[in-house]
This record gives sequence, C-alpha cells and structure tokens, in this order.
Amino acid sequence: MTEQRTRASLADADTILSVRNLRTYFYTRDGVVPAVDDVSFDIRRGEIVGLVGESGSGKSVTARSIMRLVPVPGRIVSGEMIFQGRDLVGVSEGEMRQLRGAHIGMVLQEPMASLNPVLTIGDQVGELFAYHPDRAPDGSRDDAVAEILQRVRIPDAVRRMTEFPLSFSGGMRQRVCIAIATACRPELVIADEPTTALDVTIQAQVLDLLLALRAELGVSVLFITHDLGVVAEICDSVAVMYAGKIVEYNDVESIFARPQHPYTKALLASLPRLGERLAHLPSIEGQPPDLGDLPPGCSFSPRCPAAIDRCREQAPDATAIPGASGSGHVRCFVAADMLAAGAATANAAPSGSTP
Amino acid sequence: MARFLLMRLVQSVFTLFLVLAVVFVIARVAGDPVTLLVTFDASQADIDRLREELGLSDPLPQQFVRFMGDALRGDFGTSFRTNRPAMNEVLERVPASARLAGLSLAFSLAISLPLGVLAAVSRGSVVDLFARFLALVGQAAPNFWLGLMLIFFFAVRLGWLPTGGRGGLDHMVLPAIALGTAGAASITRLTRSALLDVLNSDFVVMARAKGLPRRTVIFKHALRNALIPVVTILGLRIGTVISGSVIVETIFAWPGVGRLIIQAINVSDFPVVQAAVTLTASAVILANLLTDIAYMLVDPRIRYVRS
Repeated sequence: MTEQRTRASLADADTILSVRNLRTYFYTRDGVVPAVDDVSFDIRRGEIVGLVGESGSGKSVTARSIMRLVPVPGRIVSGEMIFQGRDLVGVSEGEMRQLRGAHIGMVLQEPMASLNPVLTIGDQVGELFAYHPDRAPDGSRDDAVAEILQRVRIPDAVRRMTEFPLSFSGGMRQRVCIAIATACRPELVIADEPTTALDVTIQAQVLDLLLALRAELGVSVLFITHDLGVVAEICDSVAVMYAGKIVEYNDVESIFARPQHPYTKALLASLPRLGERLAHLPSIEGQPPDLGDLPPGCSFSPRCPAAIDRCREQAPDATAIPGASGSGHVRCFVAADMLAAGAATANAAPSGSTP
Repeated sequence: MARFLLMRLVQSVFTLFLVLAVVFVIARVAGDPVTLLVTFDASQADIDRLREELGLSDPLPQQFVRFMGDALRGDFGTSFRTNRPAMNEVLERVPASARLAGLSLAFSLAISLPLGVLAAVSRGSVVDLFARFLALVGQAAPNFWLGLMLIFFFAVRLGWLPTGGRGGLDHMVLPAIALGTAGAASITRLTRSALLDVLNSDFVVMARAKGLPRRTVIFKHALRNALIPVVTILGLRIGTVISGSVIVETIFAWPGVGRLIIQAINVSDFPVVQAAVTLTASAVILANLLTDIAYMLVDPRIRYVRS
C-alpha cells in the first residue's frame, strides 16, 4: 500500500463525524445490556477509521447507531454524533432518511443476504436516486447506474444491471453493495465487516476497491473488522473496542508500534508473524464477558495480565495519549500511570482526561 | 423456464390420469350400477341385456381403455336421474361454483393481506393481537358450523341477507364468508410471519440504509419476498375452497357443483359423480399449475433454475 495513512496534520475542521460519549443500550427481558458504552471517536475527511474488536464487543451496534438503525430492543441512550454540524442523535427520522444513502452509506457483512433477491441490480442501485434527487446525476438513470457499477469494477455493467442478485458471486455482490453505498457520493461509508464473508483473494480486491474509491471520491470510511491484518493494510486510525467500550484509540502506526492497553497488546501478540513458527499462537486467556453481566471495575480486568487491585474495583476513564492526533486515548489505569510517568520524565504537559 | 413449464405440464397430465384411474376403480368397487338402473322386478335377462349395452360384461382392461377414451372426450355417460349427459349436468353448475369460489378467495385476500401486513409492521400492538386472535378463531371454526351461525344471525335473526338459494350477490355473501374465513385466517398468519421474517433480513436493513421511506421498504422490498410463500398457500387454498364448497353449497342451497355432487351421491347417480370429481380434480391441478407460474413471476430465483 502506498496510500498516505495518517492525516494527523489535517485540521479539526476536516472532521466529518464526531462521536462523543455514545451510549446504546438494549433493554431485554433479562436486564439492560450496555452494548455501546461511552464511545467517542472522530472521523476526518478521507480518513479510514478501523473499529476493531471481538464479536459482541459493540462494533456493529456502534455502526447501526450512527445510521440510527439500532434493532429493537436497543436504543441510543445518550451522547452526541455530530455529522456536518448536526447531531444525529437528535435529528428527526425524516432528516435521518435524507442522510442515509445520500450522505452516509452502509455496507454489511453478508453480501449474499444484503441484496433483495427479487429486484434487479439496476433497480437496487438506481432507486437511490429516486429518493435522493439532489444527489442524482444528470441524464438517464440507467446510464448513471452503469457508470456506478463500472466504478466498482463490475465488468459488462450495462448487461449485468438487468440481472438479479442470484447470478452474482459473493465478491461481485459485495461490489454491488459498495456501489449502492457510494452511489450518491456520500461523505461517509460505514463498512460493517465487509470482507469477513469473502475469501482472501476477493477480500484483497474489495479492500483495494475501497482505497480506490476513497482516492476517487474523498469518502471517509468507518471500517469495522476483527482482522488486525486488514486494519494495518487500509486504516489511518484505529479504535479498539472491548465489552462496549473503546479501550484504545489512536492512529494506526502508534497502535501497532506502541500499543498502550493490555488488550491491544494481547491482540497484537496473537497475530501470526511471517517467518516465525510456533507450536501455538498466543491467545488471550478467558472469554469475552457477557455484556448483560459485566465484572466490576474494568471489563477486561479478569483476563488482564497487568491488572492491579484498582482495576477490579473501579472502571478507568479515558486518558489522552500524549502526542496522539485528535482524540487518541486509552482506557486503562496501568497504561495511564505509565503514560504519566513517561510524560513527567519527558517534561511534557501532563495528560488530562479526554474527551 | 420453458423446460420447467413443460415438466410441470407433463406432471399435471400424469396426475389427471391417476385421478381418472381412481374414479374408474371406485366406480367398479362401489357397487353394480346396473342394480340401480333396473326396477325390483326386472328379470335376469333384462339385467344381462343392460349390462351388455353398457359394456359392463367386457374385461376390465377393455372397459378401462374405453372409459379413458370417453373421459378424454368429456363423455361420462348419462345421468341416471335426468337421462342427460353427465358432463352437461356438471358444466351447467360450474359458473355458480366459480362465482362463489372467486368471491370467497377475494374475501380471504381482502381481509388477510392488509391484516397480515398491519400485524407484522406493528408487532406486539393491539392490531397484531387482534389479527392473531382472529386468525386462530378463523382457522379453528369449521365451515359448516360457521355457515349455520351466519345463517342464524344475519339471515334469521337480523334478516339482512337471504338464508340461501339461487340469486345475486346478496345470496353469495354469507356462503362466500363461510367458505373464505379459513383461508383468510391462514393467509393472515402466513403473511404476518413471512413478513416478520423478511423484515429482519439484511436486505431490508440495506433498504433502510439507503434512506428509503418505510412505505417503500415494506411494500417494495419486504412484501414481495414475503408474498412468495403466500402465493403457494393461495394455490393450495383453491383446492380447499373447492372441497369446502361441497358442504357450504349444500348448507346455503347454492346451485353449484358441490351441491350437485351431494345430490348425485344421495341418489347414486354415478356418472354425474364421476364427471364432477374429474372436473373438480382438473380444476385443482390447473390451479396448482397456475400457482407455479405465478411463483415464477414473483421469484426470479425459480425463473432461472435450470434442471
């Protein structure tokens, strides 16, 4: 990849989405499940932000919250999501509908299930323009659809747009989904594990396509994945989620070079390395916690090798990482102490609590 | 697609052949038709002569071939009761039956589709509860009981509609409701559950993520998929309506094929029974064939299947 990765130098005016203290809870019969709990991050223009975590860590619910498509019995409880000067938490459903598809696109994990089996590809792409006339191209709908399908490198687009999803392979369907998500040239695309269901070669093609579209359209991407390899390849910054919280958020180089949170460190340690042959890949001891029944203190403390007594009693707040761009932070007592010590020796400004 | 159609056509013809074979066998097993045709004091010579005339003394395979040949030409013999061709007796009654069946299916759909959709999109609401209750009661109530209750309340007590008999739309309302209620109930349930399934699918999330209004998401994206199983059930309902009409037409004295079958059975008028059974069976086979074609029009996945 020759893409320029970090855009730390870009001014904050370039922030297109700013999520602050987002909480999305599920009110189930068995109690309240804090699927997204005090999540904050920013996405700048043209930036690809990775949202990483195990299944059930709240990544997808974060994505659905931004789209305001949280499935019942979930509900956004509090927080802010400032997108183009508007707080998505508060806008009306009608306003939200105008944003969805036109300004924020979404790609889902399962390309085989994300397209309507009884409608043609052309119809499924083209119908966007009927509901977002301000973003519709001049000229005929068919020409526009063909052009968009060509943009996502679907060969023979003019003929294929009359076909139904069943005659498309998984990789081709995911291209169609990306075409749908980007048809109206949105400012933001939320990609919820878009490559997880694809095999590796197709995965690489889809990633290349996303990078190309970023370059072509200047679109920002919230890229949800559990694959750190993919993150390293395409993301500019990374938010690591654990049990509904972002435990570490920083630019991609810093995350990989100087991970702060024990969970991030453990995740990186479990990545296989080329040229190393190990009998067993290191893995993180224990199981991710049940969100409906979280341990006291830091949710990661029962599995954490660095945990101290305080971690089991108190939940750590987000601590800004010195030198990190934007709102880079870590949510760990031990890491915060080490950062403070490091900052003190470097005689730098003491770190405060963010955001 | 053409191949699929051809296959279904061949299947339909084969099914019809089986129906005719069963009709033939039952007619031979059900008793000697000759004893029904002659008077008590007929001599053995008379009986033998009649049997010879009717071809009943020929070997069975020969009788079967002749029966099939006649049946294909629509010739099921003459009615013992009226001495007119049996098929004509039946065909005369078809328009009345078709009108009633059509009205009852229209009633079923007019109730069930809106109610099923409404129940699914407002899951857990009062409307949903009402729809589920109605569906349960409608499926549990037998059509003969429902028919009698309808007559009792709307014809006898309130006097709004006639108790039965031949006539215009007012004569058809109660039998159509009696005949269509079970269908309305089962299609309501099916529409509701099928739509709920589809509303949870990824492509509906995608449709919402495109910023489509709720109406478009439900009717364009969800309902068309949900209707695929509904179309299947609708095809099967046609068979149920035809068999149900035997009882309902009798209760309401509606001059259709169903009532004719009962009348013919009562007087052992076998040619008419055979003609009526063959015709109704053909109607069901045709309905199933049309269902498959409708199915193909709704679902491109079937349209493209190559066997």
